[in-house]
Amino acid sequence: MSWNEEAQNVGAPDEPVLSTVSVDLRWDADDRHGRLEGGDERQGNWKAPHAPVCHQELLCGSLTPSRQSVVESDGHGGGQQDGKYHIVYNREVLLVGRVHRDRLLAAAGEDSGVLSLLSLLEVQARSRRTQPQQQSRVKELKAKIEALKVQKQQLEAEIETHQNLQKLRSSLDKQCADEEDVEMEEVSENSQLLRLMARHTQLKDLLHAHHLIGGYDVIKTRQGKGVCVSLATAYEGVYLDTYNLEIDLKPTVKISRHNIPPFIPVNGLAEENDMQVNMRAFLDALSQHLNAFAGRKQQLKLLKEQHKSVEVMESNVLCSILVLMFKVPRAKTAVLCTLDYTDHSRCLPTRVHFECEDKQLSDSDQWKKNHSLLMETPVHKALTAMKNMGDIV
Amino acid sequence: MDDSARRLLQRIMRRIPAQMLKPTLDKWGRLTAAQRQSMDFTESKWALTEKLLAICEENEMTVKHITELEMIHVIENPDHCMWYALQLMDPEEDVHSVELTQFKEQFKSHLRELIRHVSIKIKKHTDEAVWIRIAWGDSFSRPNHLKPTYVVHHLQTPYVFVTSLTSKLKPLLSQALVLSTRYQAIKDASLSGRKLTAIRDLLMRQYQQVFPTKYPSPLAENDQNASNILINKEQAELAASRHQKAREAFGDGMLPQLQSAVYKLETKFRDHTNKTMTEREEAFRCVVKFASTNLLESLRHCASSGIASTPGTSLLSSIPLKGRNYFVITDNSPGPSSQTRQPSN
Repeated sequence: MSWNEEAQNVGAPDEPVLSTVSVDLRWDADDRHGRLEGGDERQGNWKAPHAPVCHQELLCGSLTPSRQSVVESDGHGGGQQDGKYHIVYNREVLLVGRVHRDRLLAAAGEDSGVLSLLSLLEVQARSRRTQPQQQSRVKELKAKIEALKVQKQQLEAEIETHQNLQKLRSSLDKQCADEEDVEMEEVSENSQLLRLMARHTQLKDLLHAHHLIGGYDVIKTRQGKGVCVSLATAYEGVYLDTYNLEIDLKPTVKISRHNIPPFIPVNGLAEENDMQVNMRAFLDALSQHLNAFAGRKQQLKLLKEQHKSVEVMESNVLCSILVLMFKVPRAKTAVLCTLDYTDHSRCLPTRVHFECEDKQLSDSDQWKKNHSLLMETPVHKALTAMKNMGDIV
Repeated sequence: MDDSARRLLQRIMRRIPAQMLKPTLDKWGRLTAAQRQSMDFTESKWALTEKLLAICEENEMTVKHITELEMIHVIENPDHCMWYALQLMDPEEDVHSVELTQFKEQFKSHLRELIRHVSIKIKKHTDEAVWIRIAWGDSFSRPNHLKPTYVVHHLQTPYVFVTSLTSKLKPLLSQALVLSTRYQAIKDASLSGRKLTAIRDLLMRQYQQVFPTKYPSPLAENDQNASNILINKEQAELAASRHQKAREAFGDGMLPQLQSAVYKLETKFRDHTNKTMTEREEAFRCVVKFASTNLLESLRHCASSGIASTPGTSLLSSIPLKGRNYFVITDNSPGPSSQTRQPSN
């Protein structure tokens, strides 16, 4: 099949063929890149291609399988020859040489999709059709110089604002540290705006620092109509689960969804701390509850791992009650220990109770010491201490 | 061993699949070592049933022991009956100090007060769930062990899951639950399904929810590495944002396996091309049911593949958000208002 035939088969009459571009692919033997330059072809005017092509260098983006047609040359032999590629495209397929594509990408800016590249090529082709080549080049360069000058001015202005901002920011930080009154400089609109921007950056850094130390983190959602709060929990220096809350701010302040387990009373805490007015108090209380819960859960996990000889008789999902069975060496009796964590915002128990058949054991000094140990230290550490002292097995 | 016990044992043996027989019997622990050895698990189920009946006669087992076996089996495989979720409301002051023994005693005593002949068995599973098996009788007859009700509750949470419960017995169970868990009321949570784990995970939020965050997860980068870098996807950003929105609405990873969602519409008919129907005053009653082997997964896939536009309708995303799969939709007010969701009770 000759190339001309194939070219004519392309594009059924009812398919919208937007334009035809014949492109020059110069074969550069040195760097094996093809370069693409716009040609000047009307629809239906075909030329036989005769250039070699390096297929690997061609980047092809394809979208929908239908209605795409590409005419390629067959690759024969090497050498530096001009090749012409006929492309009939209806905005769906493009063969682009890599170097030229990068140039176009730079020109296109952020929008680097294949469609935008196509449109750029189209614009280029159209503009080249109307202007003679040599003069346009000079004009192009002059226009570029102007554009770069404007950009330079913009950047200089940005640097100046940034420097002013830094100065204001350092004075603000010092002011917060020393608690002095604000120096009233020239009260112009510009300085007020700068002041506001400095305060904004200060708050953002504060929030970031808060996030780093394991506090909660807040981001805006739904174009400013809501926030999402992430509460991190940690115990003994180890990060545990993170819980999230989505709160609507407009029309009223209310919680829209969260992934906090149902035994933590989120709504109760919101009412207690009056979330509408004092969001921070609510978040602090919630964070405290979640951290305490995570701490108790972690203590139970460590206890089960480290002290396999101690039997956990009862526990619950909230980890607010723990009943353990100790084996006392030599005495061959068992001691039942009940730990009540009624204050759900703390990791330590509020009540410790021993039960033993041998009444004297639970009244002895040794076990009174164990009682205070369990009230004051985390349970897994207390058990290690008790084991070391030989009170339990 | 009386007749009812024998029938119960036969029924249980029919239900337990052949490969689960040995581990379940071992867990039951009521057979001596010699008896266990004598059971040849390669025989047919019928032969094994006869053998087990003989052993139980030998051990003089009663219905009480046989119900233990049933309970063990149901706890291991809770997916063969329909479960309904109930929610406890208005907690009292001391709701958090309810502990297991107290709950057990209170529940048993309250239920026995309400109905004389009832057989209750309470067991705590390793995942902190309290399982209750209730066989109901009435003033004249003994408890019927062939139609028991199972109740699952996690202490300190407001949710209770029940199986087959007739409307006559429901108020009795509700009262006993409310009194023993120190709440003031109980209502239907409008969530039901075959898989207990699915409805429990949905209500207790045990699946992976996705929230908007400043710090993107590393999973996104893995996706990019997988595909060929020479292929430039034109709509990659769009696809990624659709994925993200679908995950935010329904969740990430394995979702709880709900089988159906039912929407009962009681809204006025609205279609400009059909005058006769639109002119009617009364509501157009209609029930829409979505069914699937994994409903939430298919809804999420709809949103992420672009078949449904994102952000999706709040009607579908309220299934995981509110934790229910039965909705009644009524008009907010008469007149040209948009349809809003007003769930019943």
